[in-house]
Amino acid sequence: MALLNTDALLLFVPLVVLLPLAWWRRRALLLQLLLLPVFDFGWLFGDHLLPPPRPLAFTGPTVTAMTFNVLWSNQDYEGIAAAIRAADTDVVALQELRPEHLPALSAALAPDYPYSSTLEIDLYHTIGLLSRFPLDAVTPLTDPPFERAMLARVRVAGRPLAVVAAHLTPTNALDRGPAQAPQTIAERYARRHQQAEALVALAQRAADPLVVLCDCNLTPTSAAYVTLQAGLTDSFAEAGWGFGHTMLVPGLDLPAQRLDYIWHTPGLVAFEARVGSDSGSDHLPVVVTLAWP
Amino acid sequence: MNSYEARIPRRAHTESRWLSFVTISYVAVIGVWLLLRLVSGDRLW
Repeated sequence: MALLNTDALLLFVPLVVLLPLAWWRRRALLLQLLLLPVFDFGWLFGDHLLPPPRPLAFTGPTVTAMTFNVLWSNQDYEGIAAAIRAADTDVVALQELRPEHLPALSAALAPDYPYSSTLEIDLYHTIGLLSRFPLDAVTPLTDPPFERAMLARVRVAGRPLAVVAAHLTPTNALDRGPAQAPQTIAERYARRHQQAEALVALAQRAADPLVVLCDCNLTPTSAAYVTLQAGLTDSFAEAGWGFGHTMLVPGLDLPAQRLDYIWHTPGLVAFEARVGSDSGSDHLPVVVTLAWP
Repeated sequence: MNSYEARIPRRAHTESRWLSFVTISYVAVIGVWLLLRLVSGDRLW
């Protein structure tokens, strides 16, 4: 059921074939039956097809943020640096950095991002934070249930802001072989759910507004997403338009799932959110503009 | 009516039955999934 919910959008792909066929064959009864999945699709995804509401007026400062899983095997660090510069955000979270590439990347981006911090987990899963503002009180969040996350504080026009860069556990069902796949899936869904609960707890404890820049490895139709929604607001759902898919289908370069998010606490409001362009990773970046209301 | 002409309506009939079978099966799957979501109370949407 959890797997089915995760990829819920795929369940509606047959409509693309069946609706025209039933119409062409003039099968009124079949068309009436197909109204059930049509309405279910509208219920689940209708919001994505409508433009976001006009943002409320705000008077406070703004901050722009980006999250980008660069892909551990992506060696095009010049392209990655160019994509980050093009997005032109104040704060950037990166996932799946390789430690050996950090010096070159830091040097390339130092003029734009004088402040940075990285958390080396292993050869393929370093996470990093780049900032135009000084990063204070950088804290690794590596105790369970977290594996790859860090917290830092910045000040934007005098306002304190807590920033979390996170990479939640991927499913990778075949990591331990096909025979172990069901157990692997169950364990990783459970761990991701615990990580979502921990992020919500962190947000609820935060004295200052908080943003979570995350490759969350979950889709908006998964239970862990609902858990995150209990304490955080999904910026793209709030201010973006469309499905916002960030994960590319291998070989096709077709975005098919939304796995990357910028969440924020009620102390902020998102008034612009978009998916960035392809930079050699299997993920696309997410870029948002947030404001103090 | 030659044998070719006789096959046309039969083929159309077979296609129509397949379309009915596939559509009804698909709607049944969506219906069961919707029902499971509603009764499980997993708050997905």
